[in-house]
Amino acid sequence: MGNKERTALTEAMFYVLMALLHRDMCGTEITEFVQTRTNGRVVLGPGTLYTLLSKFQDEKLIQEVAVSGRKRTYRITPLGIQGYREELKRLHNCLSDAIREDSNALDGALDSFAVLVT
Amino acid sequence: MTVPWTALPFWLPERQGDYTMAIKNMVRFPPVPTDDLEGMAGWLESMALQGLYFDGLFYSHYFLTTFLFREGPPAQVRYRIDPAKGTLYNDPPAGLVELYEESGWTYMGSTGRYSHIFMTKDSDLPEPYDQPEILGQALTPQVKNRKRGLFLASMLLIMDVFLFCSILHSALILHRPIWFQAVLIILLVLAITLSVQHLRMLYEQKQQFELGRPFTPHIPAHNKLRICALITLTFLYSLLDLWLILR
Repeated sequence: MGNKERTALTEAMFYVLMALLHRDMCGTEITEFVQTRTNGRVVLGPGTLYTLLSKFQDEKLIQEVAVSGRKRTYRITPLGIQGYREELKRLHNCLSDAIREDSNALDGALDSFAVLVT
Repeated sequence: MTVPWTALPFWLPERQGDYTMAIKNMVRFPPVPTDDLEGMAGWLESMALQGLYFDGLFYSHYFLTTFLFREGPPAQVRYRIDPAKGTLYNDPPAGLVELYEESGWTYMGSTGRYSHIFMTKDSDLPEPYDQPEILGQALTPQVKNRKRGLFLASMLLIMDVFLFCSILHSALILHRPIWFQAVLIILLVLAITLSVQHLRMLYEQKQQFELGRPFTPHIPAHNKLRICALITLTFLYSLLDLWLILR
């Protein structure tokens, strides 16, 4: 990430960046957004969230914009948006390849069946 | 960062009686290094089942650490140790305590720069690190710090052995007797041996988490050899310190 060649984001990382695309959020809001968006499939623990937020801040993908009492608010940076879009493109390519492969496998199975029948 | 009494779980009774009298029965020596996340969690949970709750550090030195415990009703609780890098004064990093408390955990104190203790009575609360791989990544700064310390100690040992054996010894070590250098070398050898074991434990722990093994607290056995080594180290260090002060 950053100036280095970007590695793929994990699911949790991807959803944290997704949460911040819409507006600035604090930790609790990010957790709630991710849980709602994934229908409870992805639940971010406080340790996981802290580690990801620290990592993203170090890599300049997000920045802390406000501290109000115990609440810290984060905002995604242009670099973070770029990282999110690259990951989205990668996932889209993976999905397209998988659908095409699945379709070819099905065609192959149908052809084999046709040979057997005739 | 001190934890005010009002922030502690409500079901723990208020401290009764004289504080110094309470210390006698409630100071404990941890059976594992504070970096052993699963061992520490298991040990603290077993103490809670006996009615003793972690109440802070009683004494902390590089080689010897003792914990203070407070009496309360025996209960099944969950302790978790977060290895996030804290301040030089061992306070947790900004934002960590808030995230944990918003999720239902209570901050109990820190036992080192990379060791922040949280507790909950809720057995259904999700793990702070729902993905063990991320916990493994979180251990990276700690492993690097230990490696750096081990390297510096090794360089110091090599230098001391050289000075002890070389003909330049009498010229360079004018203010230190021979026995001082000998004790220093023994101390460094012991410290490096313990550090290597400690680093190996930390590295194995990190690898296991990165492979996806879930966090599993276990009750550690007391390692008498380790305890003897730590007491010897502390004694030797104190001896050298005392000589430097009194000379």
